[in-house]
Amino acid sequence: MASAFSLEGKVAVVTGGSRGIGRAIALAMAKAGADVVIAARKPEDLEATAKDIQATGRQCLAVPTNVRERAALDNLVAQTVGKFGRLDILVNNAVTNPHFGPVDTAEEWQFDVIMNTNLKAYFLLSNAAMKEMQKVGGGSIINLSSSGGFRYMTGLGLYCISKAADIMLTKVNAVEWARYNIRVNAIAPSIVRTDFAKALWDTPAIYNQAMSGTPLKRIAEPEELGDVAVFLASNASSYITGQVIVADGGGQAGPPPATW
Amino acid sequence: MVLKDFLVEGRVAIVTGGGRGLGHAIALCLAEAGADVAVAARTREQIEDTAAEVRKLGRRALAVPTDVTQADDVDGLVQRTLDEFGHVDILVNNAGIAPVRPLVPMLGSQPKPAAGAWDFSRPTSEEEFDLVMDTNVRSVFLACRAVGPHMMGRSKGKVINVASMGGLRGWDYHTLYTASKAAVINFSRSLAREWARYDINVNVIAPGRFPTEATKGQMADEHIRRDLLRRIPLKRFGEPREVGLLAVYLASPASDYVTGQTFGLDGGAMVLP
Repeated sequence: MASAFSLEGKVAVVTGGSRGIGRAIALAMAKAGADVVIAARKPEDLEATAKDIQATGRQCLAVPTNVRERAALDNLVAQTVGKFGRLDILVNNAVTNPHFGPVDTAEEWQFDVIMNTNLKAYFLLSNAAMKEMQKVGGGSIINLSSSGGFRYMTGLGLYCISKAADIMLTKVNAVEWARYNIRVNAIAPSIVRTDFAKALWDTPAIYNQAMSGTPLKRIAEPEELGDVAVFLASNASSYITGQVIVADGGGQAGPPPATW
Repeated sequence: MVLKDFLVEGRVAIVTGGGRGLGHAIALCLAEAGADVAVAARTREQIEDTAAEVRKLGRRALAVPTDVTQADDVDGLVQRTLDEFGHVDILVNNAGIAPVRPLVPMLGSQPKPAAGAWDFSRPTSEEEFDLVMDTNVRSVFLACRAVGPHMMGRSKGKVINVASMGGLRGWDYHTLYTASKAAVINFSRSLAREWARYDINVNVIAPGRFPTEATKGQMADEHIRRDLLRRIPLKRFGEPREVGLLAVYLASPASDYVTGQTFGLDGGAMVLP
């Protein structure tokens, strides 16, 4: 049975793979049998995570990458294929959010940075990876979106807009690339225990407000996102494409928190 | 080991409609992943066969003839399972019917009845309405009501309701069916919230088109088949085992933070208009 969920023989690329959700996904995929390429800007963080991945017995390649640079994305795919000879799984996970507050208070450069990182890089890297997946007869692309892609989150307006765009990118690519047997799905978490979201879960007022709309009454651990990603990357989800898997402790099954 | 998160060893599952089709595949996949399974349906021979296959996989099995529309039967199913295995961790509400029929006879040209379809020359009867709602909705209510106190008491549980892509959008000549599946989806969302405090997850599988006994009539028509395939980006129907594997994921610890969700399993069809 476990074999249906196994990723043995597959090669995965995870952006933002050195920390937080990306690190958890990279580790989970390695433990499920995949060789993993992790990309992020800071070489030190990458090396540390690469060591942890190698400790699982799988191979890991760390490629310092700024996803806002087209050449860096092409280089990431080239290095992956150069080292492992194939690319089966892409996890678009690197994101940024330089602005917290009402959208009218955001600078134009903040809008550009958010869209270039959270949307344009997904678009470009998916295109590049798709060409390699075609060569091996298919693949699985997993885009990290957010429950903010569906509903308003206080102070995170631009981020929410970029995450909604990721959902539609997921659906468009799912339909257009189904003919290549490439499945494209998204994961939409609410708050996860990462450095990226620390300002949310470490601020009691924000945390309590979020929990008032979360039936399971806890935030997600990064490892739980790893399991969702392994499922979507594996043959166990072979008929699932164009879907958004919401991992939010039940929040979206009902009304948002009363204080919103 | 991540893959361990996808196992359900030592767990006990109840699968309704487990004698054939998707329920049969779900029961076998859960067994492969380590669960003991109580298989329920009306037809004894079919559930005995499924139970025998579960045992062949090295797991314990119980075949309980059950009419899922009857409270006594459903309560009895849960009690039998508890007597035999001591606990219930996973409930898969899969039993259902999918009749094709126009609500009332159409003016002008009639749709061609698929094999086994109900009589299209008269309006849908109240008995037909009750049969669809009883089989597809009341059954879910009864089974959840029956396992609820037990799962709450143990502060753990996984409820998986099998609805349909038709519960999220309209389908021609499927008014009663799609209404019943929409009911299952929203029943599940509300129950997910109600039982979240007991760490009981409630999720829905919404399959698209799968060739099973229940859909054999429709699929036999080459014209309908081609038309359906045109609307599926992956250009193939699903395999029952693919539903079984999603059920394993939703029954396993790997999905512990996922609740109240509906999983489209449709080869991408939901994305199309």
